[in-house]
Amino acid sequence: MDNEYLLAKAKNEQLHESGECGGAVSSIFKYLLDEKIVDGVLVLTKGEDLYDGIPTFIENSDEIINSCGSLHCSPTLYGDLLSKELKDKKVAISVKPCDMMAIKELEIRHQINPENIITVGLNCGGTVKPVTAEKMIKLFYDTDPQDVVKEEIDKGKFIIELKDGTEKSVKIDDLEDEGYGRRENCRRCVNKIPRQADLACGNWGSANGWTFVEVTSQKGKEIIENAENKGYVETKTPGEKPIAIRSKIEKVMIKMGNKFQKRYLEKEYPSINQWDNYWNRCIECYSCRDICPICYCIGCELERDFYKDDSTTRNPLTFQAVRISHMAYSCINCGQCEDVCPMEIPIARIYQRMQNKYKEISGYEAGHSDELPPIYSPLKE
Amino acid sequence: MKIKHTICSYCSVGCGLNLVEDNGIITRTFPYKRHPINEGKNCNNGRNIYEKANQEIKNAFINDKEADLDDAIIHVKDKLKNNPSKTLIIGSGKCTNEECDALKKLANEYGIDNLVYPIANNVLPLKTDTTYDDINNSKVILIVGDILKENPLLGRRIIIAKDNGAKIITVDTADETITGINSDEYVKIESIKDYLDKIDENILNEFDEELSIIIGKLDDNKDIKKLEDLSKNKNLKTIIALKECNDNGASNSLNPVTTDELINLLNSVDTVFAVECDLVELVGEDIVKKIDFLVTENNSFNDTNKLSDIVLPDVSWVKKDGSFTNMVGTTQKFSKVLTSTTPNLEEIIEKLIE
Repeated sequence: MDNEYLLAKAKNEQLHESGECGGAVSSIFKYLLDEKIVDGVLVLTKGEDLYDGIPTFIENSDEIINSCGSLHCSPTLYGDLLSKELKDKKVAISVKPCDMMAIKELEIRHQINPENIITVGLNCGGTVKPVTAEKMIKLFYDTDPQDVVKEEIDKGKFIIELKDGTEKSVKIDDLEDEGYGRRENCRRCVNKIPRQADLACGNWGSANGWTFVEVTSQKGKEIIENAENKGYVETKTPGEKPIAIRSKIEKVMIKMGNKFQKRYLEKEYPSINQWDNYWNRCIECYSCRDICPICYCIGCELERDFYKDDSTTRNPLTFQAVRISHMAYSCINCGQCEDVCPMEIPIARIYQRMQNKYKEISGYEAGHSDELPPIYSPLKE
Repeated sequence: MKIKHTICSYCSVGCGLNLVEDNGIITRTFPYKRHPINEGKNCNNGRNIYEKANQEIKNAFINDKEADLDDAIIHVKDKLKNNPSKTLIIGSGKCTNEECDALKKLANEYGIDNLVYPIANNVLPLKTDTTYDDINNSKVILIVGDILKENPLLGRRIIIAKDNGAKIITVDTADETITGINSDEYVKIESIKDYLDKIDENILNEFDEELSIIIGKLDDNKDIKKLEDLSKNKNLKTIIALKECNDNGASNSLNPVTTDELINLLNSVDTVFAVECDLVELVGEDIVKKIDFLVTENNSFNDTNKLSDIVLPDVSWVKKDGSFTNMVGTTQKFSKVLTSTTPNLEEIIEKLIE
């Protein structure tokens, strides 16, 4: 089907007020729960504060209000919650592009049943680590992070809204030049609109109080039509201008992503000596393996006894080489491995660089292709 | 499926940890990226600690047989009353601050002076105003021990400092350590004590106030005093890497003892009430067998329980409200993630005081 464009907003006043750009996504979730189309909705809810997004499985539609509003400072990934704890449930889920790519990779590996999930995509300009966000709000905005009620990335700026209703903004480029701003992998990301999801939603090109929705699947089309028929959302067709604005924003973001790829994966890519120093740090804690949303084998090669034998000479390069040889082809650049590395090894760089090269040679783009990577061994299933 | 915050109970760094709860069972951990100490990063031990989260000993045991809790309590009360000067209460750096306070109250109530907890590697808590961020910003760091291996999330601060241009000097008795290979200088030594005796000549004059010191182990716990004086006089940033999650907080209520000191105490008393520790692992079976009357309380069975006259129930930290104080003196509260009907240590102590 050809993708369609819509502007949508919540008809429920509370969701319209509290939700991001008119609350269309929250209303779609409410519809799916009320109509018992799904068992639950997997979304981020606010924990201690704005910087503490917690993946939450909501089964009661009255609680959807708790998931309203964006949390850009919570770089979580959902894929493994779907394939593990929620694998027997019918789930609707809000997904960033990297969430969606992880889901896609898990689907083709038969770890997630696509029939069981409804994916509502959210456009993404990148996420900020929560502790980094707090530090930069103090430093660049001269503001107590607890006074911030809302944050947003728009027009190349990181914008904060304060309790008193005022706004402050700083250019993302300026923040990132000083080592703050978005996570490094987000800077290198070129997937800004998750079109593999059933719907791709966001504020790019939308009018105030409306969500711009790209209907990307037949399932998505039926959901939004039924949600409208049942009185959950109101839709209208956008004019040429909003479509053009959205397209322009996406192009600018992709251009920026490519620029950062050139910088981090080529110009400033660590030398062999620098990598040797990084591998020396590796404490073989398995954090990178365990967090990788794609890595799922039950009998992992790295669990073999000879990797755990204390008497053998420590060799993190072997550990890393095994992981790279298994996973780099499927890397979606979600950056989770780097986020959780206790030794600050910029590990996502090597994975993304290898997947880029592999894509050039084989045509396989992790998180997008419907087939398994050519090198994938069927013995793993 | 729910994800809830807690504090890691493996070592004394005080990392935040998210636990995934599914149908009343903790199934795994999930990164707690909002936590200021570790930002969602955990070591292998920290991530695997969820396996202990579900633990509890549900019932009391008298002479290895399941018993009514009230009967066991009456029995223990009689013994504690019997001869306070010949009674020893052993807490643990795994106990929460609130549990340590309760143990102190119990000792006071019965007039028991011997109230201790075992410490590892001869390192005692050091009152310090050093923060982890101070380590990030250090110019020179002197390390004793393999911090990257033993306390990886403190090790991370050393790595950050190194990336910021700090000079890292590590001393240890091993031929090679992970911290050593990541240092600018690795000094293999025979004796930590001898090294510390000469520390002024070795290092201090060269770097003076730009120096941070991180100590993971000592030969002699008396060297802590020397380090304390050194830190004060030279205005150094000093961190003592302790083993257990609340080794620092426990010292507010209980007296820290080395293994040798503990053995001496065990040989001088008749009755021992040991909480959250495995005495057999600490001092060996022979010494434990000689204890006239042994009461233990743990949240999972260990070799000491088998030699105990009475075993009292307890639950893991995940089923308690409480707080831990980490190695730099930050007290972090945590709330129970799982509920349990099994009595916990504080409730047992209340019954013993009633």
